[in-house]
Amino acid sequence: MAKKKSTATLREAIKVKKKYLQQFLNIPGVVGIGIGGRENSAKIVVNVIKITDEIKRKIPKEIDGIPVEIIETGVVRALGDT
Amino acid sequence: MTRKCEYCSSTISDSEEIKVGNSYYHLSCAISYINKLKKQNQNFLLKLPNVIGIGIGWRHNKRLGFDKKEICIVVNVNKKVPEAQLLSNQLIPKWINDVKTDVLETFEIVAPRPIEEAVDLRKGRMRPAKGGVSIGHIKITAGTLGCLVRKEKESLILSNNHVLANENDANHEDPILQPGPIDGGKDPEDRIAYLENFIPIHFGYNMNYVDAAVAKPISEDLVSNEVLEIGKPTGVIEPTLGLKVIKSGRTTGLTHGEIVQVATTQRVRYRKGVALFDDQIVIHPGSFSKGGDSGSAIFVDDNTRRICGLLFAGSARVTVANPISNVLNTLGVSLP
Repeated sequence: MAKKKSTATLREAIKVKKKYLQQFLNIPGVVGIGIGGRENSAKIVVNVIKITDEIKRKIPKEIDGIPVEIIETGVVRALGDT
Repeated sequence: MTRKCEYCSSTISDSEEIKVGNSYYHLSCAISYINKLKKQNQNFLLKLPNVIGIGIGWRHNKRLGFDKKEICIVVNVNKKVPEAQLLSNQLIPKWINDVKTDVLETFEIVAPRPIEEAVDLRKGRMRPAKGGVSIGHIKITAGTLGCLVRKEKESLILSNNHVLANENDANHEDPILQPGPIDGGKDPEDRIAYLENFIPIHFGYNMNYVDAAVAKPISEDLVSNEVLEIGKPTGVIEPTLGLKVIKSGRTTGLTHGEIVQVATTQRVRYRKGVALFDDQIVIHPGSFSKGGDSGSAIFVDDNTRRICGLLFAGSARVTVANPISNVLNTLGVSLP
């Protein structure tokens, strides 16, 4: 299946992100939600500790017309020397 | 059949025997013998074209690779040249006495970039201290001195709360060391500043926007407005998707990346717990930063030296930063 290029603007994507933010953050393993892509081809990016089948099932490929991408970032830590 | 070692004349078992030319030796005897020959001939060999090194090694066989039963003199060259292109007195001899030679194309051997040296500079004491070097509150390990900012007429050091204020566990005028304690910074000898102000980090569900703090240098001549390997900041630029960026940090030095997310809401793990941040920027690749780079100022990579973010968190895959305008506004400071 070819990926459709997003035509959403950054502003539109941010609006949708705000609307669903809490729902996304409530999914176990999700550590962040941001906007990726480009200014006029924006998408919602969901940062997760690990991409699992469950995560893939719980996160839609598109929400309110904005494409959603899952990124495996791992745990994000404050970067003081450890 | 048991042979006698050509060098020491005692017997060698089959498993021990090492061939040199057409004779057999113990391994240590063979090396002693060849080493003597090598010393006698290395000056002559090193004068031949393209020869950059002489050693003793396993004989190399095109079919079998290194043959661990035979050793020879190995001549390292930066380029193999067909014999026809060389004069007869430029050829590497096939034998030196009764020892065979191998020619190994090693290409040019250069000293690796002195990364250690550069990194040590960042982890050492520097006066005046520039942005990009080790700094830290007396109770932490180390982070990075970001850059200088201005409050009215004063210059202040900008870095993270978790670098200058120990994740909220600090008091006004606590000593700040350069280098940070883990890099050998001692109190009071390496004091460079006193904690001036920090934005508290809320752990749990409350939203945070910046991990930032400022410290007041003990005197203005202990700090420099310059950021190591980048230069003096000239202003700010809004972080946007696709923006190419650079930073200068205590652990990984000067690195390049790209903003791949904006407006990110991100959970970040601290020693004290997890804190949620909104309106963050996310940078690729993971190698953009490592532990100890916290507090680095992130610049746009176009030689204009404008700052777009303050680095504070990351994983093996991404780096997370506060947009610089949020940092400056929250602290009530500006770039000089």
